[in-house]
Amino acid sequence: MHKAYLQLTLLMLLFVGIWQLLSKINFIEFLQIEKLTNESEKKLGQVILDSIRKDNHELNSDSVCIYVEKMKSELCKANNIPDSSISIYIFENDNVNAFTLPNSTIILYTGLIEYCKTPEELCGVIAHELAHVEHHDVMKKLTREVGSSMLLTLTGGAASGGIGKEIVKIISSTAFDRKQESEADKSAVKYMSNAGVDPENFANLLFRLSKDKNNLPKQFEWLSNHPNSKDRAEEILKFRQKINKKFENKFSESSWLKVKKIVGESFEK
Amino acid sequence: MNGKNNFLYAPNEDESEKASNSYILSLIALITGFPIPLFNLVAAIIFYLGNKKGTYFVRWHCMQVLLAHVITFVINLIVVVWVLGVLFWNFNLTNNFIAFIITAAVFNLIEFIATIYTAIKTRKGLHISWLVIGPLTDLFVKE
Repeated sequence: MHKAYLQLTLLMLLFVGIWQLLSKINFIEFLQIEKLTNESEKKLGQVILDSIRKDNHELNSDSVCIYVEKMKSELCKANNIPDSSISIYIFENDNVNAFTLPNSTIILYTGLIEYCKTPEELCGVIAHELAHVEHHDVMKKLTREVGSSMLLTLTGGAASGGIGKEIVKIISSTAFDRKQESEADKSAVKYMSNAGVDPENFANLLFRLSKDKNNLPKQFEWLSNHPNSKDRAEEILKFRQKINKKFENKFSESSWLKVKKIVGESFEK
Repeated sequence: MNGKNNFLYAPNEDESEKASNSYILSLIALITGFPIPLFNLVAAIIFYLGNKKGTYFVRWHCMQVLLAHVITFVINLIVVVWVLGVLFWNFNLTNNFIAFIITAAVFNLIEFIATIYTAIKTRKGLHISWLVIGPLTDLFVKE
């Protein structure tokens, strides 16, 4: 090989060598990037939550909150997810919708609770949203849709309320990509199964949603951010078939009826 | 950098100025075009083509700066795509990424300093041949 090409090869090797040596240093820990990211996520979650609070009333019912909290705790406990790290907020809104915010927060609309026929169906939605939290899907989606610089502006407090509302709109009504949805469904089946809740209930909810969407299109926000419900329900049933387990009704029926009654009354107000 | 004053002949004032300008122009293009890594390369190509029929000394230095920018262009292109990926396309912020940025920055800094140094020296009529790039330039530029 000619001397010049040999030197060029050595230069490239030198570059790769320095790069690989430097990559052994834990910059992420040294620069506290993870801590900064977590703090930004925390602030961003709070900004979005405040924006939702401006337009919606939080459901003022201990019974419903305790019931949903218990559901979440069962899922977390069975799947080794720190229960205290996940927060659930319920808002009075007739849209059939649930979504996750940064900072491990799940938002449920009373419209969704009203729409669920069984507590296991609601548990399916919570398990699905829990999976989005665990996979950090919401930050990935926001970074993709809004961009990191805008998110940093928002957490820095320099954003107007309009931007906050835009973010809420993105989070609550635009889709995760198909792979993220499929992964979240797969994890939801696992979470439900580990908690002793039949994942078939979640598939039933999705089948019903896909049938009903033509009658009440405006209320079915969850469908706009979770498209192809029928296909997903079929996929969930496939995951379900792989689990050789018998399930019993896990949640108290009388408490569920009470929850439905309170939610129903909130619509009458 | 090596090989001071060992060129085939002593360049005249005009040659030294043109050779020195090729380094200075590429630096100006690098600074004005930052962070897009293309402008300095384009400037180097234009300056090389403009002096294609110039004297050996001028052509040699235009080619040296062009080859240096081709190498850094490849490195910087990877940096730009990777940074955009982290900012907009869900690429993970990893130690590997930070290490690459630092390595690329070091190489760019070395090139930046070498370019200034060589611009000054060639203006005085001295011949500076860079490590790796110099022997490559010898292959591409004939008397």
